[in-house]
Amino acid sequence: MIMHELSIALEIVDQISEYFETSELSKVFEVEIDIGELSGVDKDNLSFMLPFAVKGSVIENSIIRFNVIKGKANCLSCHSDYDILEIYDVCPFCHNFEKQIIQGKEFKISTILAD
Amino acid sequence: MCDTCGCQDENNKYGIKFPGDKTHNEANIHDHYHEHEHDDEHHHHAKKIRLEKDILSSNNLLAERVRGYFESRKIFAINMVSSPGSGKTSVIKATIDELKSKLKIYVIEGDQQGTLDADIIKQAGAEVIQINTGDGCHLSAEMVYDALKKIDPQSGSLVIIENVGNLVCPAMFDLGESKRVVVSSVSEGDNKPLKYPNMFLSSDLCILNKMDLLNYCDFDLSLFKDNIRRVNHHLEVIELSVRGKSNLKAWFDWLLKNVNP
Repeated sequence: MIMHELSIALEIVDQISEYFETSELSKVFEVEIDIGELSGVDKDNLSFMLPFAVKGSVIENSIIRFNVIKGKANCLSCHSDYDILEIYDVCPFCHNFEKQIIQGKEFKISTILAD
Repeated sequence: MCDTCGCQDENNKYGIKFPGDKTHNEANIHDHYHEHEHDDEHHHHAKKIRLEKDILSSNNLLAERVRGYFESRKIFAINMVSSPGSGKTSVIKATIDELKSKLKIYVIEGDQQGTLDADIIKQAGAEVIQINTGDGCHLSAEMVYDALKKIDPQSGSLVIIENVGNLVCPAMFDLGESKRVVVSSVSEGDNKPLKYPNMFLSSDLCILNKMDLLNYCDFDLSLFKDNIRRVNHHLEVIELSVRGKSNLKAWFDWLLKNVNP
């Protein structure tokens, strides 16, 4: 069964190709992707799928960089910000689990380096 | 290993941990910042373009369009997700049996192959359309959009989308539903919310099915609820048993309350 990382890899290719076609660019050197630790996308699965997805596309020979963004939450009880590794982590200050995730759900193409 | 640029990272590429290991997995967060030599002289003229484009945006845009369609027709639509075998189809069948005299019900069935579930639903008396995802592991907004054009659900109806049995991938794909319902069952264990947190985080209601098996399984109900609260403290839980015909009324009431707000 194909995991969702393949459809996501194809989506990355589609979005950059679409941008490329409507711009005056001739070559894409680098693609920078922001990926949150809590985004639900597995970076290693994605790295594995990308080479298949980029074949024959404008980013076939581009370097793809990942900026991994760590998870952060705001405690709804004591209002402190704290780092979370897992969605279910509790506040280290007051041990409350009610939280708002404020960082780490990102998943976007942040920049491309192109000519 | 980074297959994209061919470099190797032998350290812990899958985030392998020993029990109790709470450290940030630095090895896993290798952010591909290597100094590759580029012989391209063009590189000097290259410019950095800030795209800031959400990678799931095309699915999300279409999902919003589907949501708008539902809203305009005053249709209540649910996206039912679960691992394989928690009883989504049985819950849907029981729902049709109970509510078909009060409501027009349409079911969009997502499965990898075949029409087994669709046949059961059709027999129960609802309008049904089957989507076979083939090698895919989830439904997408586009599939639902295409299915809706075919079944053309009438105003004021209930649309039930039964997603592919999988607690991982469907979490990321908004289908334009009004509410997401995750079905879990007693026989699956009380730690499912912690093992698949994204699904429980993105859901609005949790049905805990197979409550008739509570005495036969090592399942701690209060621990299950604690685990849910740790992941998503807004998530409401309805405990029921389709086979034992217990507490189904709470679920039907929840649906009716949402269909006719």
